Amino acid sequence: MSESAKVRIVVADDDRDILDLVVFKLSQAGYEVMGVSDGLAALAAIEAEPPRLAILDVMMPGLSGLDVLRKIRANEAIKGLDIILLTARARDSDVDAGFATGATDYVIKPFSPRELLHRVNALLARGNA
Amino acid sequence: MSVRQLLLIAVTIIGLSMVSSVALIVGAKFRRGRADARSRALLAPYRSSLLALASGEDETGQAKAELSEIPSHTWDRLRPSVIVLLTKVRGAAAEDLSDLLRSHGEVEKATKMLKSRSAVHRARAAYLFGLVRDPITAPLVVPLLSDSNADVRFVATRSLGFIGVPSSAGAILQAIGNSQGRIGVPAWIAAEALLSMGIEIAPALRAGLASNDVAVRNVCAVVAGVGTFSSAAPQLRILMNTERDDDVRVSVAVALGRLGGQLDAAVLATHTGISETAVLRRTCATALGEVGEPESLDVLSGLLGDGDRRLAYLAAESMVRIGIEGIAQLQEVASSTGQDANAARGALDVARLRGQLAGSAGES
Amino acid sequence: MNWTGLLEGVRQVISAIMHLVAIPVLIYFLVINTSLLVLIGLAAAEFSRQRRIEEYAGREETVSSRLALGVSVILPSYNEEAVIVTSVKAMLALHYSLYEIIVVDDGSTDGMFDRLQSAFDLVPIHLEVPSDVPTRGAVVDVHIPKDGRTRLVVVRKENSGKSDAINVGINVAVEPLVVFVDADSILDPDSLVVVTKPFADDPTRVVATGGVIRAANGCKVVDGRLVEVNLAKPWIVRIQVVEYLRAFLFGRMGWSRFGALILISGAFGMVRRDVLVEVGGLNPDSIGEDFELVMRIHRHMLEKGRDYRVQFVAEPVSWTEVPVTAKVLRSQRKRWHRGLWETLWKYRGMMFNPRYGKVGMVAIPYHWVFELMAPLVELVGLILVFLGLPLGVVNLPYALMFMAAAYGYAILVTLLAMAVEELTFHKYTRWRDLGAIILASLLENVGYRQATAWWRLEGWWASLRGKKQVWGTMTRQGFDQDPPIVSAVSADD
Repeated sequence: MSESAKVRIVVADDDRDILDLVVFKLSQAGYEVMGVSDGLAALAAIEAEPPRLAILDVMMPGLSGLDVLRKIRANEAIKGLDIILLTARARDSDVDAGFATGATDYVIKPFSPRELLHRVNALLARGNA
Repeated sequence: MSVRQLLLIAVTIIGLSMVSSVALIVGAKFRRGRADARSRALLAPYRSSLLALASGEDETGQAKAELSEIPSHTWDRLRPSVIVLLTKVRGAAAEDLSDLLRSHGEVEKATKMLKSRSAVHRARAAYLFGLVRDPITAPLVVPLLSDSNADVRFVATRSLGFIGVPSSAGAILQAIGNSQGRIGVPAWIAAEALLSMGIEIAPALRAGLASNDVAVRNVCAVVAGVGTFSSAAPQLRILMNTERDDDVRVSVAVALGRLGGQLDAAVLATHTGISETAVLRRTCATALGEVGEPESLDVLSGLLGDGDRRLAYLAAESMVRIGIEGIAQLQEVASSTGQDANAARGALDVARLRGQLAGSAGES
Repeated sequence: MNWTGLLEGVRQVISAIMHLVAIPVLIYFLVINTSLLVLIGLAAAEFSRQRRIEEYAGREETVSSRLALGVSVILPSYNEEAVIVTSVKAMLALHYSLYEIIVVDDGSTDGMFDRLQSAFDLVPIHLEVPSDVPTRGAVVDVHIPKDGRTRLVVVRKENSGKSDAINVGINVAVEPLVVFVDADSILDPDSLVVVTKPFADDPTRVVATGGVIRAANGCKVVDGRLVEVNLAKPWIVRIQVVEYLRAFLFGRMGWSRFGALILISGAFGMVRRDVLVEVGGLNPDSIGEDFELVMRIHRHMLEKGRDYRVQFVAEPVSWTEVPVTAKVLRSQRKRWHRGLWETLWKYRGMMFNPRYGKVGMVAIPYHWVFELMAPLVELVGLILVFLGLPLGVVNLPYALMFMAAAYGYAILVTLLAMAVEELTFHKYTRWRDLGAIILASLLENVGYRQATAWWRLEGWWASLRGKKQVWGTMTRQGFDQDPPIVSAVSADD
């Protein structure tokens, strides 16, 4: 096991502020973060080099977060990827739909960056066991 | 004055105006371009500190200190970004950003602006208080609920919601009322504000349900349901039978659906009757599904053949929601002929796709 | 042939006409352009107000609000296989928390349904379609995505026209607000938030809203979303951009603020479903179907004595491809003017009738005189002046006055409109584009205006002669490429 290999995370959000914020926060925590601003780019990045975790906004132009999620769950090679949905869609039905589509976790905006980091850490720690 | 002179004047005016319009267009664009570029250049060095602060990464307080020290003209340009970020985060990050605003005296400025003659300033001030969310500022914002300007009232309501002090609930409810055909405050923002104040507003809600003002009763019913204020249920049940206003009745029905127990199912069932308005019948039919009492199945299956086909479908949907018994009844109806069967079949199709039917192989 | 005699005769006729209309024509143009100025002024005031409050208007909350009013987005579609999947995908990703998309396939003969089926995993369901609004074409079947949760409904029906398709959509719709969108329109992600806000803020009164439509030509579109606003190259498009800004943006906003908006463009208009059912949906026999609907709503509300409002929202919410060739443009303008005429005629009873308030007393007469008649007055004036000059009937000062009032003033008004646009929205960010727009404002008056005036008269004439209108067909290549190949057919070509 290479101890210098950083854990890779892909973040997708079409809101510049959120993207910069999350990338910054996770980078500071020691992860290798790749930020993209639409679903198509996110899917491409994930398929090219599967990360340990992906954080996806739902309402993005082109492929939405749910679309990307669905495609990942349907792809044998990467279907086990942990995915957190980070979105302003706060209705119960939205949360239901998110989990039903296969999200590992669902974080509602406005969000606490600290809490997001905790969740990321927890998910990744689980995977290491 | 001869036609010639008139012509000359007209042409001159038009010509000059055209030239000045073009100058205006070009000038506006030029100035904006310069301003944008200058802003970006000025703010670039602070971007990472701001991100550190906004993401709660400022353990040492260095970013906060740095940003607190920046000169006021730089701060003027940075302020909008701080405010935007503040709307996207919560928790410690939001507190840090609020502290930053405070350190630049924004709270004092806002307090002064509350009394400004300009409605725009008053609104901006109210907005800022909402972002900073200090409970102490609530009494300062409450008077703006009766401001003469509609936008100011709106922002004040929204901000009080963010500040979240339950004692302002009563004032918000009072502000909703219509006076001379003028909306005090739009119902939706009042409802959202109340919902973010927590359970302590229950007494204000119960008082509001007894208000003379239709709009107030309506908002209280909506909030009671969405926020699941079960202490309001008895009053809502009574209101369901005594209320005259159609919109309020619908809101009460929705609320009962959310809060619902057995008693509520019975009340809702009676209001699916043919003498009620279409909207109310449909709302009650849906609410019965939410309450989920098997006793409601009889009433619901009776609606499957109703002339209002949308009502029939909603009744069928509710039967699915109630559970195994409901599904079984629907399946029986679906295999028969006639209109009932159509509604049943439609609801069952959708339920099957969603994996809600017992024995289906997971969701698709 | 006695040429001098003939010439003298013509000269006398023109002289007589000129005596009659010389001053009125001048006044006509002064009034029409001044009224536009007033409308622009009203609009500018409204824009600056809306921009000021934008900061704290609560846009984010509206997106995730648990109290958001549900919207049914209806897409009447005929043979739109090239764009439909991209369009629906983009619409499923709008920034709004409670809405459904209803695609009504009006008996398409291309692969539109197949594409939808494979893209969204559609399966048929037994959904009864209520008949809240009368419809003609029978529904064939109803499909929804296999997961049972994605809020998309695809209804196939017998071909019976766009208005009837929309009416079927209304029947299928389950949410309280309904919006009609053309399948080839590109919606701004915030469009539903923007256009539902008036309903949320004033739920008892607002019955219909409309947003701004802009030209999508030349803009960069990725996956059905507008990513970059650019000005297209062809001058015919640039001039239309100017027209759209002046008429759609300012004209409509001004009327809305005045309180008598009668034209909400059909490409993006939102109406309460219950009101739609009350008035009986769209009229399948009418040409200007969206205009006719709004007029019907006004009449219905005014007759019932209900306190209501039709509101225009100042933000661009929808982008659409405008005609690129003169042929298609001609078809469009003929159709529009024909629709205007037929609807104004149908509702002539409202004119100058105090019972119908500002709509009857101001808006309708205005549209009769300054919208319907405008092409007639313009062309007649132009012909008279250009015939009169060589014949010596009209002297040069008058001719110049005419040009100044009709064209100079119009250019000024347009430039002011552009100035307001630049100060408020500034969507066209490149210097080159700005320069092109200014130039287009001038060029509009050299040929374009005259041509569209002629075409509008053609449409009016066709209606008077009782000719049947046939819808144009546009063959598309899809969004993300160069301008579509367009061929249009009209019955009276």
